[in-house]
Amino acid sequence: MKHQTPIFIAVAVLTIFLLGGCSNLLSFGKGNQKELAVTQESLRTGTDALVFSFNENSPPKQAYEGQNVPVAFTLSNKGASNIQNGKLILSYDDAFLQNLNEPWKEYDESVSSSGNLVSFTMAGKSIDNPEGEIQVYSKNFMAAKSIGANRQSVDASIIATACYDYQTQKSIPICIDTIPYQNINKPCKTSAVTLDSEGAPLAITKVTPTLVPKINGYELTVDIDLANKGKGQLYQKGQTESACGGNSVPQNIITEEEIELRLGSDEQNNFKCSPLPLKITGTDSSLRCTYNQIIPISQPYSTALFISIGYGYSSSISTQTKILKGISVIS
Amino acid sequence: MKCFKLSIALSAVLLLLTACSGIGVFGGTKNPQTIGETHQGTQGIAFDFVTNYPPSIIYLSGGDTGTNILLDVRNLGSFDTTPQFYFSGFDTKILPNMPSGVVYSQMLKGRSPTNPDGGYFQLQVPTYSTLNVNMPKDSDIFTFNLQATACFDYETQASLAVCVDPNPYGAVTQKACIPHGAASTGGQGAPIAITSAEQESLKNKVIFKITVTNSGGGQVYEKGKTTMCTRLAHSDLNKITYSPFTLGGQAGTCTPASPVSLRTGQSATITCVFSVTGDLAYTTTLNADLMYGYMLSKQRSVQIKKIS
Repeated sequence: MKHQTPIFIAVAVLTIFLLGGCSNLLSFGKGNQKELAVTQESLRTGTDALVFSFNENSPPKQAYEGQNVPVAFTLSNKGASNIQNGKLILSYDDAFLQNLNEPWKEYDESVSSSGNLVSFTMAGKSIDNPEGEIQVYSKNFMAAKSIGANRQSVDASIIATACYDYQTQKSIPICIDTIPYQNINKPCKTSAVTLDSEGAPLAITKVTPTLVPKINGYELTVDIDLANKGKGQLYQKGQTESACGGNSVPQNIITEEEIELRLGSDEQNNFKCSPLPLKITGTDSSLRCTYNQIIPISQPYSTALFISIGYGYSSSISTQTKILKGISVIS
Repeated sequence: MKCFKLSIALSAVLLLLTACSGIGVFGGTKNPQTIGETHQGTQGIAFDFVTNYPPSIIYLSGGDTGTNILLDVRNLGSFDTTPQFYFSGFDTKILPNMPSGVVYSQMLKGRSPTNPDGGYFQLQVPTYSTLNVNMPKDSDIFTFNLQATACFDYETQASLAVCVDPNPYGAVTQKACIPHGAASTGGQGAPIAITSAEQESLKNKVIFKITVTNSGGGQVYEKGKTTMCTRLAHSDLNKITYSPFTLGGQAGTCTPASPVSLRTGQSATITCVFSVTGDLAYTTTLNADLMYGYMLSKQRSVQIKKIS
């Protein structure tokens, strides 16, 4: 009996492996293989663009009168679009914090940005860098030499506001079915495509293609639902200097020049959209675009609709540092 | 006792191996040997994509995928035919060298005693090159359902054994056979099957109510429309043409007239009246020849990924 036990264990193990081979119960099957090839399209997810935060202890939670106050923040482009000439401006009460006119440093290198403003250019998520580019900027400020005779401490607020142009881009598969009433097996049927996010704060949430019969074929119209799913504010593209400079800029506006749609292998935008300029109202808005070529009748097929929308985007973060009265030395 | 238990365990493992691999130790397919056996089944042309042609994900480096689309095409029915194929589901500007029209297979023989497996052909598209992709600008992924559709003319040639009693109310009660119609669940080697023939016997007359069923899972269309099967009209669908039904070689009168329409695309009933003579019951054959076009589709989800 003692000798039988190992044999039965061996047979049992072999049987489990065979069963696993039959039913893919075990995790060695192809079904569990992770997709390793990254495409730019697969990176177009999420609603973040520029994510930034103050570094720990920069500024410190408290500082004494006349003491240096290091300020450092980390910028991270977590979206799928590159940022060219973005701006980040620091606002603070200069009665309590003073700019030492030192240059900003990116890591340890001095950068040309000066004063309260940092200019930055950052790559978004890409096949080469699926996490997106990260930059760290730092600079020393100085706490006021005197916060006033009657105060023991003051809370100095520092607000960082970033402004940058961004793009929402997505290639969406749509079905062109020019024989909608034929009841045959079809590879696809024209229907709305619901989306979540495209690696940008302005999200394309739904694309509804419609084919309208015309004399020689069909006219394609596409309704595009948009929503600002980020935590910031949309403004008209190209107004970054003004947006971060405290000037008034057109808010929640997308202009005609910043909307591009391409169907299939088209090299150029053959769509006419309205209403334009588009006002993003509340959380969502809708755009209707009409293809300017008649689509001939054919068997249903899938094609790609590439949508690109450009806009400006700004968001802010804030922190506080407590400035304490200096310690007097009594002689 | 030890050997007995071990042999039981090993037998169980062997059984599992057999189940996994379909080796068919205890069976396997038996080749049909007679006409009756080749005129069985509910398939005509059967086809499918060859595994990994195309693969579910095609990685694109440059414009050429280095792969093709292959179909295994078989004639599992009993009628000789030349199927034609067309491929759809993709933008022809993105896949520029995929055929936009019909691709013909070679003529495929039906199953017969001398060719029990039926004709076989492997269809390749693009025929003389590999698949090219013109990926849309700024996109690196394109997903579509590739559909292959076969259209072919086919015939159901059925021969059902029935009992005919020309004098059902006669005095003779001891009869050679009793009329009870005919029923068939296995088909007649074609996608359209005669599934039943209900029978009513009158004096010198017999009435058959014949049920014709689409058992092949595809779409029936009118005979002679195969060349235009990508643009069939509603009026072309679900129509079956039939030659006069014969009972023992004698034609009957059938309604509705040919072509008959399948109700909801699935079945139709044809009522035929035959004149019969004599006094004694006998067994004979009810022969039918149904002609139609047939369309079958297969789909394969394909994703093209551009890699740098």
